[in-house]
Amino acid sequence: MPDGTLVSAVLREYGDATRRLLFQYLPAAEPRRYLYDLVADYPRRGGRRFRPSLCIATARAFGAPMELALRTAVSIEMIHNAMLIHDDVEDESEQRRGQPTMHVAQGVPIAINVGDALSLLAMRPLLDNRSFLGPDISLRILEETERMARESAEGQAFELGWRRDNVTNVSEADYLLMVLKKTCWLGTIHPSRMGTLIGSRGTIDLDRCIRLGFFLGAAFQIQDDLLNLDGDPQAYGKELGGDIREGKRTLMLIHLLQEATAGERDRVFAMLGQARDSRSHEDVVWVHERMDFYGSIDYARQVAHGLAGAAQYEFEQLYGSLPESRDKRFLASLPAWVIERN
Amino acid sequence: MIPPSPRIKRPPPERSGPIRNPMAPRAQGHAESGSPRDPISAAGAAVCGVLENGVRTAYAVIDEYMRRGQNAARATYQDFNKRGAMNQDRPNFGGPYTNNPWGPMSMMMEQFMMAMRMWNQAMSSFMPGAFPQAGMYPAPFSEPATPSVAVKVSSVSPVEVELTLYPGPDFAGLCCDPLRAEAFAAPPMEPATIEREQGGVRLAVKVGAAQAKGRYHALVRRETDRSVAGELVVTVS
Repeated sequence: MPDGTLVSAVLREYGDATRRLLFQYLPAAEPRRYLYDLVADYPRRGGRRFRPSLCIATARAFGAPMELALRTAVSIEMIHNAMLIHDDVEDESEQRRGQPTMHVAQGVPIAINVGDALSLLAMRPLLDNRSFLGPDISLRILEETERMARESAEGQAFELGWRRDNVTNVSEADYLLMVLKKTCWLGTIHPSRMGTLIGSRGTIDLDRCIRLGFFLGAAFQIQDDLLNLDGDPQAYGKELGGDIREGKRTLMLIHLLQEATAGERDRVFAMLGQARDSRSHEDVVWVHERMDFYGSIDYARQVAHGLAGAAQYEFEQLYGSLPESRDKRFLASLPAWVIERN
Repeated sequence: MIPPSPRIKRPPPERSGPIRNPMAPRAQGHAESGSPRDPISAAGAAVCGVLENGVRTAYAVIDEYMRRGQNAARATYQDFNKRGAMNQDRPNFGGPYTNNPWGPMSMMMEQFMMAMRMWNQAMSSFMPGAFPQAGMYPAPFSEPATPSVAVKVSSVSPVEVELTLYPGPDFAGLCCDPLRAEAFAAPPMEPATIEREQGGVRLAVKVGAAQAKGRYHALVRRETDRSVAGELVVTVS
């Protein structure tokens, strides 16, 4: 089976299993209109369910039944959706998975409350883990979840702070550290650590998962940033060029600022210093055109390919000795998949 | 006598400090002159090593992140271990669950702690809002406890045996592939046998007198469907 087909099949299978159980954890109770119907909104919109699938596949690659990892996977997906709701408020994003964002449709106060509720609801499957994994492993998963949430908040703080203060000297190393915390911890490191913890019954040092998760997650993030510029509008589900409009410090923007003339840099800084609504469509088009001119997009694509290669290497170091299985092949296919997806 | 040659002097470097960022040489701003660089030559220069530089930067970031984490853990550990002179007089609480730096506790204390742990687990099931504990009231999908393993080794050489059984629904009917040498050429060892016995499994490993020294690896399988149930590593030294 080709790798892309295998990845799609596994994402569908584990994603569907996660989705079925996730909806059982959403209360069918009042207040529906202002809370519980809305809590189900983002999960119902779909998505690839990459994170829960990574958790389940990792546990299964060690030989654990899917059932043992399923509640942790559900919790990861719920926290991811909760963070998306808050991210969309903080980024003033208008579209999510092809539809208006929660705060655009429901207003900021309700959106924040829905995100809070979804975060708290994500604790219940972790508490239910006790019946399946026992108290020791369940407590470790809770501790790991607390760490993941803290790392994610720190990463988000970097990005929000850079934008609020219009920080202009962000380096590539700064960017990668921000991505490590903001994207990789929830997106790849935590699911990988949880799958390893469950699959190995706590016998493997989880810090060994950080490198693989970082390289995989960073390649994923850069590809996501590239799709934000040049992706298929239907498949991408968010406004193209939204990152430029939101003033996000992407690898392409950092490269452009390194390569541009002094006059061009001043124009970019001036644009970034404006409020989001003041940035015009012409500004976005001009920045995109300058990125093309200076090869910033090709540059970022090459870095993403390099990081995917590093992820492949780290995968072999970490999981190479596991017995051959469909789940191991899925995990091995992910570095190539994250930079080829559209 | 050879006359001394004039000392070779290199021109002073343009930079005034160490290059801490591997991307720095490429990232030197050229735009101060106010004129755009030729994009074609710029692209050509960037293509050479872009990928490698990106990976190098990423490794530098993650290495620094890990180093800081390790230092923080070490500092925490040291603070924990230096909380005063009374530290020397503390009883030796420790063991696999408490990960205590004061050393192993006595056998009697270990047994007492284990009994307290079991009692605590049992009582917590009856507390309001509590869940049945794994292993006590098995849930529909919960796995059975890992079986105890008895190991019998027949060998004239010193041997280390490492058996890992993956979590799974059943440990009955296990068999083992031939033990093959890892990373060196040697004939495989004869398969180990795994027999079910009360409350666990019995593993028997035979090592021939002429077996080459080194590490041998085999997969443990379920006899019913040949699926992988674990791994066996035998190191002959």
